[in-house]
Amino acid sequence: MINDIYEESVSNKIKEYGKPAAGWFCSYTPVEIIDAAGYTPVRISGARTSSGAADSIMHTNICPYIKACVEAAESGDLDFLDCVVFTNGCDAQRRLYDIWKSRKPDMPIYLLTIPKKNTPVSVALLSGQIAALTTWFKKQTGKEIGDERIIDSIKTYKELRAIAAKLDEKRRDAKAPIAGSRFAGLMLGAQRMPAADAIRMLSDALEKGGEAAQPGPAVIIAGNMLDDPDWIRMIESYGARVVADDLCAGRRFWEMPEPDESAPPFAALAEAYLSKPPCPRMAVPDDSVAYMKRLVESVRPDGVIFYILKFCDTHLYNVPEMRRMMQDLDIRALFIEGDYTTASGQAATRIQAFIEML
Amino acid sequence: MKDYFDSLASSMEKKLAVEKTARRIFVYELGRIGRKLFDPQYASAWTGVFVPFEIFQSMDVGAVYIEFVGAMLSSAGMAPHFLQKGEESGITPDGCAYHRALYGAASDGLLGKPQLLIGATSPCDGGLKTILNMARLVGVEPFTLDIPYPPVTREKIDYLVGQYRDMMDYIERLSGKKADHDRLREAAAHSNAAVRIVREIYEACKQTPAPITSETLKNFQVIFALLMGSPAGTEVARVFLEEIRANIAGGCKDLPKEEFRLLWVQNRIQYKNNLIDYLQTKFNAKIVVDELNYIYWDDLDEDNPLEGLAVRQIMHPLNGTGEHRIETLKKMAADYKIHGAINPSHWGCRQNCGMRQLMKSALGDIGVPMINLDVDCVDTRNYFEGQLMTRLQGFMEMLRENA
Repeated sequence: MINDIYEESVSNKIKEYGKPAAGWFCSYTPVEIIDAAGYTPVRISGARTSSGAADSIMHTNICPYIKACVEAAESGDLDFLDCVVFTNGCDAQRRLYDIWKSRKPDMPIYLLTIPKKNTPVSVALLSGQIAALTTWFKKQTGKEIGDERIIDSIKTYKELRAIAAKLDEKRRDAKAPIAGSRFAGLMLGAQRMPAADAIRMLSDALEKGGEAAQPGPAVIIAGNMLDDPDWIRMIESYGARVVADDLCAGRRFWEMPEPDESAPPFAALAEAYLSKPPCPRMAVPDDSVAYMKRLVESVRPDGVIFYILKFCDTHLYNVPEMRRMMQDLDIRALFIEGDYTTASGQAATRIQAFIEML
Repeated sequence: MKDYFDSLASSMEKKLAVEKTARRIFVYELGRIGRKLFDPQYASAWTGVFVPFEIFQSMDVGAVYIEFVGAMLSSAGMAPHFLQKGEESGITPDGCAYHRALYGAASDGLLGKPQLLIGATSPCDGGLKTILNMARLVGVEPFTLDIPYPPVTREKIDYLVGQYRDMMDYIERLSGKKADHDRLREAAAHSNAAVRIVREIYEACKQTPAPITSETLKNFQVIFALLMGSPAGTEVARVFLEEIRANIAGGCKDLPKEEFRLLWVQNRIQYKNNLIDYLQTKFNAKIVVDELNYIYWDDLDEDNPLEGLAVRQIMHPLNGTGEHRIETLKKMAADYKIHGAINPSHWGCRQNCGMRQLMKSALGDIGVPMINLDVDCVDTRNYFEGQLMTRLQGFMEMLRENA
């Protein structure tokens, strides 16, 4: 079963929106297209407990998030989805696509290939890929998805991201910050509902504001797929404030240059997505390490907690350079490899000790 | 490392003077390739595994791919030391040991400093990340080839050909070595000539019995890639074919018995081990084909080779989704009349391990059992031969019952 980590079950809530649901995994998925196609984009979480099915279907040394998604799919918990969009974000995800295609042959799925470089020709290639994805959605729905609808969705998500950016700033508000765990919950919620509903939710949260600032060290949490706000709550329970993140379901979802609304929409989206703060999968000169450096220099936290799921080559191969950079910046850093389970155990102990040290 | 390659080439040169065999000439040419890394006449490059060496040949670039270095360290018994170094540097111990060994060796200064670092997004994330890490470690600007997934389209060919041209500009900018259309045409011609011979070699192995031993074509094509575009490649292929023809002419009577025909998936175990010998002596089981020994592309157009190279790189069975890899495996299993397949399931190889059950099921559907071992093909520290032999014994006994 998918752990109900939010107040409401994702699958039940999805039905209330009255739209078909399209699952997605990777922050390079152009959710604007999903929205324009009339679907609710649902960022997929995996099962928190394992039946062992995923290990036998895949292998122990595969990303635990990917395997958790296999578990969730095998158990039927994701059967509420009407379709799923994959990307070639990483080797594990392309194998997830292969597995899913084999084991869920009746569910419509699509693999969107995202270039790893950000050049004019890469943008052109991705533009074509996004156009092909749109055509696929047209076939699924039997409805036209015109440029106007896509532009509308681009504008909607632009608004959503702008509010998210303000909420992000509120995490660092000196007087009444929004708690990092609340921010994480809001972001995850926003990735599982129609954009218009997400805007209302985020706007309400922005209006409501934060609570009185608590003393305690400020930390950035960085890594890959951390989609359980309990992790952030756990860090807060030890007295730290999570004031920023560099996570797949956090900053890498909402922070993106605004698509150029005067450009053809597919090209505009392609350019924006390839220009967003890069995931370590990208082979670009201004890479994820450089981005992290700027984030740390901008936020000046007391410490950085890197929580990286095991077997993630794209992130873990960056660790030596990240360590060096943190030392050069004189910022204390904790590196933990996680297994996509709940926020407890050895990892919690290490985090507690790290925060006490701060 | 320079001494290693010098020694390899020199020792093989002496042995070749006594008797010219295919493996000897192969190893000799590999030694010469390694020497180029330290020869100022050539621009030295570390690259990803499937990048087109014809281009390097045409520009006097002495290149090796990083997995070759890892394999070589493993076969020389040096891997554990450098793996330890790599892990001490902070590289995850769960990553592919081909890459970790290279990282450790580079951190230790064993490999010198290349002039060029050229990665590719295929076949795996780890390979590209290693090149990018090397760039930081040695202070050399990297270049990345972004390989689109199949199917081939005009847009994808143009995308990759454009990158080949950018790569050639990068090589010239960093090393002064210039692109030369005539030399590229010549490299394409050599590549085609070699590949025609290699096709004959593979075709011969479809016969029963296959005119080889389990070791004859071990790592063949993946290492042969280093010679693509050079006259040496054609010569090496020719010597292999001569030996194979001689075996056929002799009725294969000097070759080990062949009761079971096996397909080996992806990479061989690079360090000394007794598994192959065990399979042969106990079960008369011969590896008649390796998955990576597969010519899937047409001859390059010598007047426009970059397009053919692009198609080749896009269509590599390990590029993209698992579907076309599986179709290739099934075809090979049928063509080579395979009884069973062995997948070492190299620890840290996400793209292989992630689809190993799919491969097993697909081959099972056509009546070819596959065994997934759990072997680190580079790191002897995680090698437990007894256990593996026990598993192979069970597998072979099953094949025997099925026969």
